[in-house]
Amino acid sequence: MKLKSKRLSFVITILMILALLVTACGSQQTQTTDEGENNQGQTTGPKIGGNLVVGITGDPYSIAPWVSNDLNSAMIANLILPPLMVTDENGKKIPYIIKDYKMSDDAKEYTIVIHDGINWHDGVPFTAEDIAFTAEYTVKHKLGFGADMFANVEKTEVIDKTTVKFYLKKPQVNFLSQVGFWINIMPKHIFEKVEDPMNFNYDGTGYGPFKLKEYKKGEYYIFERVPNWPLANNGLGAYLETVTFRVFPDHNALLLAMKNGEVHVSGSAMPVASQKQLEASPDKFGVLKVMSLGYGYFGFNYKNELLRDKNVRKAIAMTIDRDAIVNTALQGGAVKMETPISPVYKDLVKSNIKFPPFDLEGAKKVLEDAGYKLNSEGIREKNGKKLEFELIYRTTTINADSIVNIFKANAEKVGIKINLKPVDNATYTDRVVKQRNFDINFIEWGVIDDPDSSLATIYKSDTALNFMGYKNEKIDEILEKVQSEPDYQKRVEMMNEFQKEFIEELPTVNVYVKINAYGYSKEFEGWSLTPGLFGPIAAKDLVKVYKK
Amino acid sequence: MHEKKSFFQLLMRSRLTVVGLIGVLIIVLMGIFAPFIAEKPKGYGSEILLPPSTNHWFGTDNLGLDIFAEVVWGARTSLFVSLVAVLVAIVIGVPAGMISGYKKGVIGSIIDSLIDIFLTLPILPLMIVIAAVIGSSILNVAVIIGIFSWPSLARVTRNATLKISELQFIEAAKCLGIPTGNIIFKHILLNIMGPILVNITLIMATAVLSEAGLSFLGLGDPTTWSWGVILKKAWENGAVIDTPNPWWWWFWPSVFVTFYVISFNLLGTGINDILNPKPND
Repeated sequence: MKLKSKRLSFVITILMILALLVTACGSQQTQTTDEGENNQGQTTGPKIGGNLVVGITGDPYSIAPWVSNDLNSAMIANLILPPLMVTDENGKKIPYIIKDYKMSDDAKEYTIVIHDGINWHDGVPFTAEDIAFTAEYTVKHKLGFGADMFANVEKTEVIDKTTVKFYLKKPQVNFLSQVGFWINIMPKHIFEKVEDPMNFNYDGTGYGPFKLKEYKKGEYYIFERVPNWPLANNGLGAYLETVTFRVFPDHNALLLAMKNGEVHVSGSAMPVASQKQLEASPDKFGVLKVMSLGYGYFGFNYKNELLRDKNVRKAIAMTIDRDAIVNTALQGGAVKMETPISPVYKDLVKSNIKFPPFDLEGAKKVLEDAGYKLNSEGIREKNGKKLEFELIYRTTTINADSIVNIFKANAEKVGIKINLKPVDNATYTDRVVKQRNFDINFIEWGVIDDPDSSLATIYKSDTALNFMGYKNEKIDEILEKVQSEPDYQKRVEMMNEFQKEFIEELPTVNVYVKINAYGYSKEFEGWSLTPGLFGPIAAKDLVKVYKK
Repeated sequence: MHEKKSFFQLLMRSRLTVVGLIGVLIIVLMGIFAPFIAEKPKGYGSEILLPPSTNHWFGTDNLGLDIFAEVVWGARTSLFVSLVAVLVAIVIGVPAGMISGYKKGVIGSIIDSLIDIFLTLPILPLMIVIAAVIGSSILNVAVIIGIFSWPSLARVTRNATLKISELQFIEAAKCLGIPTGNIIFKHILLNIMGPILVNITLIMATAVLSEAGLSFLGLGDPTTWSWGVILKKAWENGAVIDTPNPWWWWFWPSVFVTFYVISFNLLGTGINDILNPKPND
């Protein structure tokens, strides 16, 4: 009896806890706070000081950006090794560390002048020598995409301390906007003695407005301001005394930390649910929004015999319900992408060359006409080969689960079986990037920049990022030619040709452009951002942030 | 015949055991008849994040799918995982326990120390590592959970076997020259079914907790509906901390995990009380 009553009280306790949960939830109401408290008397304007805590989801692979290929590594590197070129509000490249540059009419010679007075954090002057060295070293040691970007360099000539001249093998109109935007310059005085950069323990010596103070991999990275850094705030340097990056396992953990005041700004773009949370307290938090330079897409592997059939790709393209993906799965945190090139770049999508629209009946007809007949399981097949594909995607892509389920539901309505294959990042890289062992992939490109001249990097038949194994001579030719056409208008026309061919061929189906949102605490002011890689954490923007 | 009947009568005498039994029955029926209760949730709809109503008893999720249907199909997954885990645990644990209890000697002590080693292993981290390595399918998850559940079953089996094998009728059977296999299966196994049964109900309960945990950590199978998967989706989409809160999204799967675990625990404790009618405190 004693035992029984004990157990009974246990059950009652559980029921009470559950009841508490129910009432707590039932009574929750949104409270809109009155905004606009007048505290003008307290505003003091920018001053030096303060520790800004940046929350990021996922740990940077390495602090040496030349050996890593992830956004978090690049974000950290951007503070210590800021790029030569940055984006303006329209996503166009403008000089940053560069003071001036000149491209010859044949697009084969670039003369670059950098700002004077920048030093490496160990005191050694930052000069044109470092830039020339980086070009040579990345190619020699095949360091990531840097090797590809500098591959076209025939000769570099250091003219004086601040001037360097590049002679290219082939004309390339976007040489500087690519190299300048993507490559972090290497310290010559450190790396000239390094034979094995992949295993070299780089200590973070840079030339940026912040220098690395200490870090613990997987946990935090602390940076401190470089006094009187010449390109920030008229030679004063950044306002923030220190910037601390904290690594979080996921967006919810990051959001909670922000709401608790442990984190002041999100370095990783936030999901819509998190944005709404912060927007609910406008007195404490703000959200900066900007259209992404990348996009989400489904890609087809041409190794798969069935996917090599243009009709199958076309039918799949017609099953993609962009409205549902943008409004339901992404909760309105994106815009539809109906053209091969992102609508961010307005000149390039004026031609309005669109992917086949969402049309399930049309998709059925395409498959029927091509000889794919429904079998007893409701899957179409031809010559005994079933239209059954594995769709591989990364579980870490926000809302990927919802997106692929919408895709699957519609594909199966027309008789194409889709088996979902959610994997972690390492497995994805191995299967898709290295082995190219997949049927259909879904992923988001972080950034596709200079699309008037750079799409060769993903669609040309011999490029590393062409995971599809897509090969089309006409497209190869256009993408090759466009790189040496100095006239912008002519490039736009050539890219229209490309888009016409693209929507016939459909090596990928591009679906949406994310709206990147970054929450910030109103304890800090001076925020700004442009379409780019790092939101408000880009060095050029972060130097303007100050504590209220 | 008389004995069996009284066992059931004893079982029905404890009200909490009856509650547990009914709970188990409800979940089993839900799992078996899932296709008749609710259509398998898939695809997407337009009624996003609706609170519970007569149309959607448990509300809808971010894709407009019915959460009641997800929970019902989740019961099926939970049962599947538990049963596979129990099966794996029985296949490894019962023979291991019986051999170690009956044979004693070197083989017995080797198995015995193996059980001890397995019992001290940090189970959850190991499960996470293995699940991450071999990949997330629901069968993999179930087998992993089973592999880590056998030691407790083996320990219980061993102790019971030890007790039985010292009794005189086993000695007699040995003297009569009855083959060892016959002794083990006919005479010992039948007599130790009770403790094994109790342990199985406990494994059923913990298996569901483990599955929910693994799924929540993203190591389950996101293409199958399970209570852990529903919770993970709710968490991923910010439903747990959102204001206003779509509480129905995370609340119902949590309730059912709790309900499942309590039901099996009550049933297990009830059976145990009948088999060991000593007061525990």
